[in-house]
Amino acid sequence: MSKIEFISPEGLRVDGRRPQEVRKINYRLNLFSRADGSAYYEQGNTRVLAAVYGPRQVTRRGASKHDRAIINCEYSMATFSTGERRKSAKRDRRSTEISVVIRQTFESVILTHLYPRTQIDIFMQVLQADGGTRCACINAASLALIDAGIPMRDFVVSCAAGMIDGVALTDLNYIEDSAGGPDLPLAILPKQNKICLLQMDSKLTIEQYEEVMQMAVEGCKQIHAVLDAKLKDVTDQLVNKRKTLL
Amino acid sequence: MDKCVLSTNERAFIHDTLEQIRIDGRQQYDYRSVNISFQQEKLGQVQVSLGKTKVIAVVSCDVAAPLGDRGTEGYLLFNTELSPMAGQHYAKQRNAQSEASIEISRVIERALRGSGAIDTEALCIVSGEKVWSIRVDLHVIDDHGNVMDCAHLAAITALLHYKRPEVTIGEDGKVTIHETQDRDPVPLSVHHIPICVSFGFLGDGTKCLIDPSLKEEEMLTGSMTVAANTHGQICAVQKGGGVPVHSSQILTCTKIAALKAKDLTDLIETSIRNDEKQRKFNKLPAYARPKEAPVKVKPVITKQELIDLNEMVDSDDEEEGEKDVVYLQELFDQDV
Repeated sequence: MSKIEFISPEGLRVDGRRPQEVRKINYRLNLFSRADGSAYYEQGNTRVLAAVYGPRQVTRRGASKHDRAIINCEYSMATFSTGERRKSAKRDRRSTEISVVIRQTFESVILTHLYPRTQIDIFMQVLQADGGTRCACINAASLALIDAGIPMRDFVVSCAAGMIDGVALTDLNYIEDSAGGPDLPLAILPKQNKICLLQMDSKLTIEQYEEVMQMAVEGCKQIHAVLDAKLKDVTDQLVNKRKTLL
Repeated sequence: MDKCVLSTNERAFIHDTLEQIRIDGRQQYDYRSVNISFQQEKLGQVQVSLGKTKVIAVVSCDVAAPLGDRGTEGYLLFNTELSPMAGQHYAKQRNAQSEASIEISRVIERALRGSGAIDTEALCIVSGEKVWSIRVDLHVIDDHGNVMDCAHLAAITALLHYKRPEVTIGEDGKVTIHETQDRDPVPLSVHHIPICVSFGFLGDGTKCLIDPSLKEEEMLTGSMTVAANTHGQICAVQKGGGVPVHSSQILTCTKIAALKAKDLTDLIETSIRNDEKQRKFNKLPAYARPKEAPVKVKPVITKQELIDLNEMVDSDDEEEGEKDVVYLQELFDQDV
C-alpha cells in the first residue's frame, strides 16, 4: 500500500485545499411536497437529504410530553452511498448513535416548549458519503427546520476537523478520515458562540486538542457565512412573492 | 418512565446547595468511592462499584476470521446490557434502552479501540485467516448515576486482568491453542490506560460537576464524557448534544479530566497488583482450573523404558525380578 501524501510540500491537501479550507457548499430547500421542511445539502462530494415533519401528533401515545414537543431523529446511510455497497443495516450501532447524538443536539436548540404534546420528526439520509456525513446531516437538518418554520434558538452549524502528520485540517474527506488520525466533529451555535455537539476519537495531547477544536469552530463559522448568505436571498424571494415587503 | 422522580422542592434544594456542597457531601469535582473486586476463579471478570452504581465486566475470547481489509488485526467487541435489574425504567422502552446501551458501548469502544489502547495487531494468529476476537460484556446491575464511567472502569480493568490462551503455530501451519494447564495464558498488550471522566452541566451550562449521582443526573441539562490517560492525552470525547456550552468550559473540563484520570489509573493498577499477590498467596493458579481435576505428575520412567526393564529383569533371577517389576508397575498404575 503506497503511502498517501496528505499534505504536499506546498501545503496543499489531497484535493487541493489549504488546511483551513472547507469544501464547496451547495443546497436547495423545499424539495418534498409532503414534508413540512426539507433540504438537499452538498459539501464537496458528500450529499445528504433532510426532511422535517412536524410539529404533528405523537405517533406513540405513551411517549408524548405534557410540556414540550418530543423530537425524533433518524440518520441512515443509503446502501449506494459508500464505495462498496453497504448491507442495508438501518439499525446498525453507528447509525443509532449518530441519531441519538443529533436528536440531543436539536432538543436543546428547538423551542420545544412552544408545542406541547406534539412530535417533530427529522429524517436524514446520506446519498453519497465522502467524509463528514454527520456534520453534513446536522447542517441539512438545520436548513430543513428553517424551511419548516420551526423556531430555534440559533442556527446549528457543524464541521469536523482532524490532525494528520501534526497538521490540523478542517473538514476531512473520506481519504483523510480513513488515515486513522483523530476526527473531531463539532456543532456550534454561531451567534452565541457555544458548542452543542463535540465528539472525538483517537489520541491527542491537550494542546493539539485545543488547536483542532479551534479549527473546527472556525470551519463552522465559514459554513455559517455561506449558509446564511444564501438563506437571506431565499427569504427575500419568499417575501417578494407574497408582496409584503412594505 | 423517568429514571427517578424528583419533586420541585428537591430540585430547588439540590440546585441551591450546589454553591457550597452536593447532596451526598461531595465537592464539585469529587468522585464517589470506587471499589474493584475480581472473581476468584476466572480471569477477566471484574465488578466495579462507583458509589452505588455497579457494573460487571466479563472478557472472553474466540478465534475468528479477520474483518475486511484488516487481515493482520484482531478485534475488540463491546456489548452493554442495561437490564431492568439496573433500574425499572429500562424495562419496556425498547428503543430508548437500546440507544443508551449503544451509546455506552460506542464511547467505550472509541476510548479503548480507537485510541489504540489495546494492541489489535498483537491479536493476530495467522495473518488473513485467524485472529483473536476479544469480547467484553458489560452488565449494569445497578444504575445510581454515571453508568458510563463505571462501565468503562470495569471494561478496562477486566481487559488488564484478562489473560488469553497461548497459541503456537506448528511447522505444518497447524494452529494449536494450548490448554491453560499446559502453558500459562498471556496478558493482552495494553499500550496506555484511558479513563472516562463524565461531567454534568446544569442550568444554562455554567455549572458543571463530575460524576453525577442519580438525583443529580435527573437534573442535568447536558453532559460530556472525556477519556484521558495518565500522560495527559485525550483519547475520546463525547458531548452528544445537551445544553450548548462555551469552548473555554470544555477545555477546563478536559484539563480536570486529565488530572482525575491519574488518580483512577493508580487505583486500577493497585487493585490489579493486589489481586496478583492474593492469587499467589492463595496458591491460586493464574488460570481457571476446576478443583476436582487431578494434578498430572510425570511418571518416574516412561512406559517404553518399563517394558525394556521388564524384559531385562525377566532374564535375571526370577524372584527378585518380579518384585522390581511389581514395584515399577505399581508406580505406573497409581492413580495420580
